[in-house]
Amino acid sequence: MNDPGEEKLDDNSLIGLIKKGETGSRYFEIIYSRYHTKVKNKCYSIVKNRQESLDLAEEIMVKIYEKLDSYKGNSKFSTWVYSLTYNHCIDYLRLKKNLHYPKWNSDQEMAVLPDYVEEFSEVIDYDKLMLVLEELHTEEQLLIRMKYVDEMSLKTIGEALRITESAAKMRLKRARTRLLYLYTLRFIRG
Amino acid sequence: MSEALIKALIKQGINPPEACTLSFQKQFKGSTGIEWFAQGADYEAIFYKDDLEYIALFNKNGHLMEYRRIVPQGFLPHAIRQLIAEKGEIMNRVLLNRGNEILYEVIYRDKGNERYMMLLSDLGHVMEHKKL
Repeated sequence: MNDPGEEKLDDNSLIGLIKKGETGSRYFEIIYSRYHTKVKNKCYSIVKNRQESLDLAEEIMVKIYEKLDSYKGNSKFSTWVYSLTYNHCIDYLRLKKNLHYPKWNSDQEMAVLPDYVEEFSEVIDYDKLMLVLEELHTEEQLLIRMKYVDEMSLKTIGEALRITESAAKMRLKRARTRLLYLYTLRFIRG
Repeated sequence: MSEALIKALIKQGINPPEACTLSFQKQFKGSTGIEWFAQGADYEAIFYKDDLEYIALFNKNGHLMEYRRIVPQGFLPHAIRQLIAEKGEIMNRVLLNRGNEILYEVIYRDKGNERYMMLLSDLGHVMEHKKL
């Protein structure tokens, strides 16, 4: 049983204690209880399958423990955890579902939107936007979630998706353009 | 949150110094979707030109320091295509123009699904090669 005081320690203090050794597993249980559900839910939002997301979450929690030494505290621990989560899930999907972004991208029709698209912000409905988001390629969906939901830096996003920072910037721009293009097609012009 | 997300998705960026916008208009006429970001003391524009994504870096005086653009499939120099074909499948191609040199940043994946970045000259000389 954990000391109730330990439960109140912040993530970085716990990581420091785990890195020191001896009672690492006890402190990791606290980390586990804080993050397992969050990681599982994030996996579910990516793979859309309960059993797979449960299995992936277990694998990711193990990976987190094994890679703790590489966490240097340069970003929030939660950002590091989610970056590993995205990285693990995208590797899983690339392998299992044979995700192939370049081919998908070249097969898609997309007009670059005119600059007056800013005016659309008044008429865009969040729920409808989320529906359109599901039409994007998984890698584009992840780019948008990582940047605008988890507020990750482009460097971290690039590392998680195993692309360069400049590729992350360009793909994010394309993902945003495509999302708005599809939205206008489905709900404004349509 | 939802309103903030919508705004962020629609428009990002800052207003750069006038010298940057003037220089940009001269060098990248006909561009659309232009967004500016601070990069240390410099300014970066991300935009489309001829349906391709570009990233251009200017100093505060409007001097274009470098730009990157997506290279469409089939447009890489032959020497580079040949070199990468031996290693795996190309996943991303970017041209980097630094004024006095043109380089290519290529991401490829090998048979084991590992990803690598290679920075090459247009003659296919490897300047950098690392696992991603």
